Amino acid sequence: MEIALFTTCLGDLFAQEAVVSTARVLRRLGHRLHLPPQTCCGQPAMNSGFPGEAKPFIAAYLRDFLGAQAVVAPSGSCVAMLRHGLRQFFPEDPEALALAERTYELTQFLTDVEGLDRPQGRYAGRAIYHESCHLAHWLHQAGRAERLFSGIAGLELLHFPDPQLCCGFGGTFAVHFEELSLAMADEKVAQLPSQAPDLLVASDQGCLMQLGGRLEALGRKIEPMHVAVLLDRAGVGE
Amino acid sequence: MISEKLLHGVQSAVLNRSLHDAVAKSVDRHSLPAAAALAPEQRGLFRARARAARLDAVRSLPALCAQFISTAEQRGIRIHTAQDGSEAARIVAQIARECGATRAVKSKSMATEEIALNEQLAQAGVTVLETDLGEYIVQLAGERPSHIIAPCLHKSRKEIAELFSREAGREIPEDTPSLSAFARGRLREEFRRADLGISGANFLVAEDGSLVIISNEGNARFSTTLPRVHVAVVGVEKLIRNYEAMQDALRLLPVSSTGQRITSYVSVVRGPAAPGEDGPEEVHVVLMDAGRSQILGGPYEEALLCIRCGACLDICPVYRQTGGHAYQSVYSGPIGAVLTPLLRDDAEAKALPFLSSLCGACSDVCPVGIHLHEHLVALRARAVAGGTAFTGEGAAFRGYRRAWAVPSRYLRLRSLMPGALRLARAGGPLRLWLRGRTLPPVAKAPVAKRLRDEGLIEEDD
Repeated sequence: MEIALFTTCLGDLFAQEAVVSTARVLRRLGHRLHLPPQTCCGQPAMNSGFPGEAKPFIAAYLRDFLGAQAVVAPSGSCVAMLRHGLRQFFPEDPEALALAERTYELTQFLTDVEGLDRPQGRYAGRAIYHESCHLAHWLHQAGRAERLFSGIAGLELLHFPDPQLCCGFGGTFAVHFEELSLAMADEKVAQLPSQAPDLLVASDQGCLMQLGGRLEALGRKIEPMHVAVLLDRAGVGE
Repeated sequence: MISEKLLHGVQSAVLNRSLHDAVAKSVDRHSLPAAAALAPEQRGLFRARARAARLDAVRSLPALCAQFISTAEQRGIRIHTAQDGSEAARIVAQIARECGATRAVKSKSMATEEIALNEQLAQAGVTVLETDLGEYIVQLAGERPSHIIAPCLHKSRKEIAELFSREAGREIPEDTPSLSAFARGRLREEFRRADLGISGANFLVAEDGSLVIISNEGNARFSTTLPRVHVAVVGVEKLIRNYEAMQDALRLLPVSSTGQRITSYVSVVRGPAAPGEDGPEEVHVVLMDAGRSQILGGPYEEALLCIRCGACLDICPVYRQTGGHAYQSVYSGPIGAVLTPLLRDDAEAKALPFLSSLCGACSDVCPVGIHLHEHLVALRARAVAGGTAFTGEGAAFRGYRRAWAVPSRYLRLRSLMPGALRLARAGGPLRLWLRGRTLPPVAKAPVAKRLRDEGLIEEDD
């Protein structure tokens, strides 16, 4: 398939491994990758109450990604914004609505479009998976990553007792309500199993910055890792 | 500007960790059984039907209202209409005066909380006793309910025992039998003495003019049958076409609230008692608009579908940390952050939609499928357009759009990012971020370069 990558601004600035791993996994599965002009999805403005400032980002996405057979991004949050933004700002434009439909978060693409189910892989480690809320509740794609992990030999996958509890990132929310956001992160940290994992895996860089940044500030030695990086290192698609 | 009062309230709630512990324990006690109570397909079916019935009711509200008035009056129920909360309170005070009531018992009602009825009646010389156990506790503490269905969920057993002991003038032990025995004794005495019973209603059935009230403690039935006069204060959005249209919402309400398949009591009030029957001599219904009709037909109409189950509060990761009082509204949690700015226009109300991480768990548990997180986003835009924004964000997001919304400009400015972020550490949002968290280093070159260098991108691009 001819796939356009949406690298996401957080991926470009803070998590290039996740983007590169996404590309590697997709290449291994035989896809041809393209890189249209990149920028942010506009979500920070949208979710802070500035839809007028967000719309040009969606317009740029529509213009630059329209030719793609499918778009894949390593973020449920950005994909939720792109899909909702296209529908909200261009409700009468059939091309925009169709582009929304073929814009996928990575694990969504790998399971729904690629049809991967328990793909083979190998990675030694103890990992706990945090599902991004935008993937679970905005895109309704819960459980995809766990299906992708379940065939990875050597990987011990742990679960949060309350897996759907938000990490407290929430974009500008993290600084608008700083103490509250930290209390939410601390509740996730408190829910880590007593025999702590080596890795905290999540499908969104926002969650990883929130939880990884909090864990590091607390002096906890748990490495935050994007789903794409784990799939790449496990050799999924080889 | 964002209300400082709201920000401070949230902050102090977050710092109160024993509050968090009490709230988290209680909401888990609701939401875990609620999640397990129905099979997903069954829940989906009930939810679709309940939503359709509620949508039908809300969209036919004027017609159903007229029908209810006519059918209820045929049953001997006296109907009053109130445009706003103070009119509703005046009507209840007038009813109390006419029947010579000085003591009233009240079963749990959010509508009467919304209009601060107890205070209004106190001014008219009527003492109101709350008879829902949680409401009674909150009333003794001189507080407001902190949850739609569990008003005192923020209180520990120890605090409750202290309140009861103070009220009793003797030591009441902390165990459940002792606490409930004291409350039962005190409330029963008042049920017998009261001249007026006040309630809300979960549904007003237009077809036959009856009121449906659900409760777990039996206090609603006492309040509506023992006193000589019963008055129900009900928001107009509680109308439903008929019993068939009500059944799915009635089923989902307790399931979503506490995981119960049905509540202990489903009471149907069909008017005053006939001669020789037990029951009130007079039944009044105050149909209260209080901002509802302004929501009707607009982008937030869905908020009127709410059946007040509290599931969105129980699942909310923010409510879990703050409890209900931090919202400074009768309605807290996600539905409170949506409804309050639609019903009130003070600074705290306008800022409430920002009090959410937008995780969207609320929309998934809502038994009538209200798209709560989408309304929160839209209400933020409405707040900003009305001048309620975080300081400096207007300029910041204009700058963000100018600098980044054009991809070529994003790429050109990209090389400045590492330096810009180093400078930004001194103040603003980044400083706040870094108070409790670290930040990964910023990659110097765009990821596009790495992707191309590794040969991952087709060369024609």
